[in-house]
Amino acid sequence: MITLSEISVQFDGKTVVQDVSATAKPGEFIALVGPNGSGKSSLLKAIAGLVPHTGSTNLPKDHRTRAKQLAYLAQTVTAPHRHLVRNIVTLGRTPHIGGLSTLGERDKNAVTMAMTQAGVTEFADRMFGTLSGGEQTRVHLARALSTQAPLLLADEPITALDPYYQLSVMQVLREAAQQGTTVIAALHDLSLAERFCDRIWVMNTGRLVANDTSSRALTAEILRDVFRITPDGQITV
Amino acid sequence: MSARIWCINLGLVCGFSILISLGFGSTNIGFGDALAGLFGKSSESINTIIHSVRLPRALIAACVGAGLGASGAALQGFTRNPLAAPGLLGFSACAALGAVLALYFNVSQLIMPAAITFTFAGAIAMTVFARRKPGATSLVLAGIGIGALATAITGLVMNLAPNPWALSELVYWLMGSLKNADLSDVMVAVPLTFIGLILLCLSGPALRVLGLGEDTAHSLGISVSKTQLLIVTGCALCIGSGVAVAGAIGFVGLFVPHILRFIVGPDEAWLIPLSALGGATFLVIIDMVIRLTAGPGTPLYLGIVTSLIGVPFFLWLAWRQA
Repeated sequence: MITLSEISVQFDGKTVVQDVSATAKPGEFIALVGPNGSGKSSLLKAIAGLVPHTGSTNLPKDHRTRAKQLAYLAQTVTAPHRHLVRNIVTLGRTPHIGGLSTLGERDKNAVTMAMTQAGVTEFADRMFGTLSGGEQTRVHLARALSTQAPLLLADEPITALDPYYQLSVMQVLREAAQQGTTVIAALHDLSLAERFCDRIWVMNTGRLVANDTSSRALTAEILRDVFRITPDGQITV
Repeated sequence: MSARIWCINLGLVCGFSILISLGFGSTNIGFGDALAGLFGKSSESINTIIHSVRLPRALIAACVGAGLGASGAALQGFTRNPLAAPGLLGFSACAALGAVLALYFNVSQLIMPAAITFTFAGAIAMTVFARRKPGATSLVLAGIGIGALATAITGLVMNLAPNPWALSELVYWLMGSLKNADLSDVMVAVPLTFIGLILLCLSGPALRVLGLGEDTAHSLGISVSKTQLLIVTGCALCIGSGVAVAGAIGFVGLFVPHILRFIVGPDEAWLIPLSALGGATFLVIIDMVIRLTAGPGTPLYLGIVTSLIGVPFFLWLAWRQA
């Protein structure tokens, strides 16, 4: 169980996340939705411990211990272009191995499993720079899965992808959740969020304004007040 | 060929270059005599030449080259910027400022401590300016700024030189040379560089992860600020002691890691020791060529030769990136 209590984030005196409290159960796939600038990325970064914040989570305070408990998939995925996919996925094991020690049997198995789960085994020996954007995202997804952390945070993992890769990434996240991982993914596609996720957290101007099961969170009021759209897909003026 | 094998091979090549370089110098000594001299089994004058002139010079060349190469590899890895090098990020400029000040005030025995002190002062300033958000962008900006300031003050010192001879001494010193390297330099520069190299090599595993971006690396348990501290301290030790002995030697730190990345592969952790060995070999060979081609008159300055070879490479790199 992941518990967030009163998480707030400020940048240069401007509050971008305000008093967010929520819980996420093991195996739950949560969609974090909200307009641009509503604080989704900042909330994920605060949970991951990447930005200064107030409030607390029940994740370990120590940096290295926390790294074993959560995997983070950044909004823009990058890696040196000439690195092999296999080596990039292996870096997900960093929290489990000391700086100078080598990979054990468990690490190798975790890497193989993660590559299978994310569907990147077939290009394990290709260079990162030769892959398409969708393939690169899946490589990073495999890297995040190989950590085998109980919490997976993904910041807009499908925003830049074509429909095929959007669905395939959502499926991989869904499967990770089915295996017991808590997955929190920032998303813009509300219909994919409803279809794949157990729960939807709606953010607006830094606050968590709705937190409910997928079928109930996106009410007509939320769509109008937060997203400025109507349920039948028109923009409100 | 794996990176490990490359490391062993480059190490052997480096060792051989040092041995071969003992055979070249202004006094004509046969290669066999030179080797015998190394073990103290030649005539007394040859023993002395090898022990107090040629061996120190070769060791300093290797030490300076190793420091430059490893610093360049670590800085390029940390900043993920192909143009990062100790010369660009102000380490060399700070060291040169310290040494030039020591020369200006006529205390040449203080060149080494001054160069090292100023490099550390520069490194601390960089860390302070990059403190708000440690990482690639801050370090590059702070480094370039500090370097520009150090270069400007060096220019000011030269501007204030009391007479043309003092000025020419400063100018020649800045061109970089190993002709004054002696055993006492070896005793200071080699241990300091060695410690610096260890710090840089220790940053290697973190640099691998940093290739995925700073946020991702942080989420994987890597401390960006600790890695930055390790690299800045390592570079300061290597460059401070290197510049103090040999003057400003350009471009080795830039292009040695690039060549090795091209040949061996992009693994940052291996690139640091590889670039140390590559840089060492390169400077030993270049210094040997300088001694070989020395005729009557002023010998070529090491810093000029390395830049003459380095700049075309730099331009090629810029062209390829474009």
